[in-house]
Amino acid sequence: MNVQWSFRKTLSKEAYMIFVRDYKSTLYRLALGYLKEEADALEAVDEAVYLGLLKLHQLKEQEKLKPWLTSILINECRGILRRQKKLLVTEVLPEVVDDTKAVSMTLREALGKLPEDLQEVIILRYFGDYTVKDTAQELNLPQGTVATRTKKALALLKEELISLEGGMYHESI
Amino acid sequence: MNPFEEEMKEKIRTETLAPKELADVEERAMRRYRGYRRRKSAKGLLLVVFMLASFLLYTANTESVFAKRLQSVPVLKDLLAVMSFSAQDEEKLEELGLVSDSGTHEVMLQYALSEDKRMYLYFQFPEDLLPGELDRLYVKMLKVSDQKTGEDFSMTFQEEQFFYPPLEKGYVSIMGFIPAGFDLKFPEKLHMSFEAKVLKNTTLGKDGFVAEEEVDLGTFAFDMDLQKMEKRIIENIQGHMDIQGNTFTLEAVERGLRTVDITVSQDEENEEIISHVKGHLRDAVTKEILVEDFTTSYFMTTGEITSFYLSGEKLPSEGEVELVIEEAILIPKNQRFVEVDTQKKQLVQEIPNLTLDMVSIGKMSALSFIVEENGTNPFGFYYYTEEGEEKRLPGSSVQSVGEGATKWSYVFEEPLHGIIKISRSTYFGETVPLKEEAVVRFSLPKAHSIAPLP
Repeated sequence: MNVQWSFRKTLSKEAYMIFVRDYKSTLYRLALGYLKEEADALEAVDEAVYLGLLKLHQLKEQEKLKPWLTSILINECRGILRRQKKLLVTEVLPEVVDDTKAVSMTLREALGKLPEDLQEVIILRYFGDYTVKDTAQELNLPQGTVATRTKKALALLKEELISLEGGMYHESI
Repeated sequence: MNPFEEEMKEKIRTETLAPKELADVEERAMRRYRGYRRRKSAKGLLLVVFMLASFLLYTANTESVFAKRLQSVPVLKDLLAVMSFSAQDEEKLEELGLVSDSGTHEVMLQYALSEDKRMYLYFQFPEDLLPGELDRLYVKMLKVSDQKTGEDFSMTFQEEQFFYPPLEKGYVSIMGFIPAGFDLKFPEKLHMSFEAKVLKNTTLGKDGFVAEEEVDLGTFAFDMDLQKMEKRIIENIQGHMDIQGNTFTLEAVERGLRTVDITVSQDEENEEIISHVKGHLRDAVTKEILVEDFTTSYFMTTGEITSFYLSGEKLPSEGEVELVIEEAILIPKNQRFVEVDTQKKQLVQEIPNLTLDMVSIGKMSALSFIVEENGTNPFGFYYYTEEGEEKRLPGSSVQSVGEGATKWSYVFEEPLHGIIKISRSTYFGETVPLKEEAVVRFSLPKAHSIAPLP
């Protein structure tokens, strides 16, 4: 972790931008975990970084910049998901397979089949590199619950991947 | 971690490639933020402008001398509604009212705020120029020069600029600056010409904006006579400091329209580059802290800081102050670039906390590095080919790799060969807290005007 802002009382916009530059890939990965689509993930990161800048003066403990900004992003992702659910689908376009998409469709598909509470644990733990403790804090859950949900989610994910990839995945491990 | 967990984590890491647009996320946020600040301050200023306009209207009926100025009030109001100025800045705004006609369009240079090292020019374009959210105004500077001597000042303005909708009241601000410490001043009679285009329905491509259609607005030229140009106040300090065996000298304090810069120099004999300094400015008598941090304003291309600026609400208009350095970022001079031997696939010079992870050469080439300090970007913005050509470093893809380490990967759209040199981030060095604070006392020259930087 950079230390250049460690002795400051309030975080400057410059230090915030340096942090964003260094952390944005993780933010993007996290957003992609929630939203599945590149464009949506990019929109969420854009909005979170902007909101973070706007509310920077509210950040009292600069050591908490990472969880603070991540929380803003997660709220943004949840907002986008809520808005998407409200959208009425009027036309279904043919699905185009895009090989350049970031996370493989199989993993996304498997992740999408998990219950939402388990999905969120996987997204935070593996897309956002959260520890069990940080995940528990973010989701307001006991650490034990996070550990249990992680275990359960991994087991289900493994099953889904095996069925989607025709057993090859199972053999590879 | 069980093998499945590990494999899935790896899959997410390796398959999540950041899109190119992610590279500009900071820039986009900053641009929106500035727009927000402008709108917010404009609301507060509207009342003041209304009162000022009422006053001028009243006096215009009684004194003919105001009649001419009255005509400019709506324009000033328009400007103040979309750009933010301190009360002092507002006083120093110079009305120019110059019009340039390209044959198809008119652009006006309405106002300027200028000092001999920095200037803000406020141009007014047709208001309805960018109807679409994805339309952009593109301005390419052609020539900036001294009207009398012909001396070229083009390098003091950004060559290409893009402006986003909405162009409120059609206003666009273009800034020119001469770095603090440079022995160069803007002339009062300045010539400027630029071409402008509207880029319709743009998307972000690899090399910037890609437009569905370009509408050429033409070329515009202005000969301005800046009679209210302020003179930057420069006072010598000549305060020497020792930073971990390296001599660091505070050369001078420069007080400009909106900035207070401290220019510095570093002894040629120093073994390390000082790329950033941290500390504070305090009142020399009461020891009250006036400025809590410094922001680097200029570097040499080799990484040495040459000036930093002071800002903040407590920055006094004048008086005795002490500048205190508490820590600095140091980079050994022989490690100012990360040099990669692409044939031997190794670093030419070892760099602490950085290892070369992978070299792949082909039509496209790829390099990846492991950085031990989690999250610290090791590189600057450029790389230099074997032939010495300077090129922009491509966008990075970053992955966490174990405890506290990150992998930084770059894909180059060319077959790399020989030794390439990559500029090092000025933040990727050793942060050294000083055993004893380095303190230099000096007088802060009286301000023309004080306005904390946005």
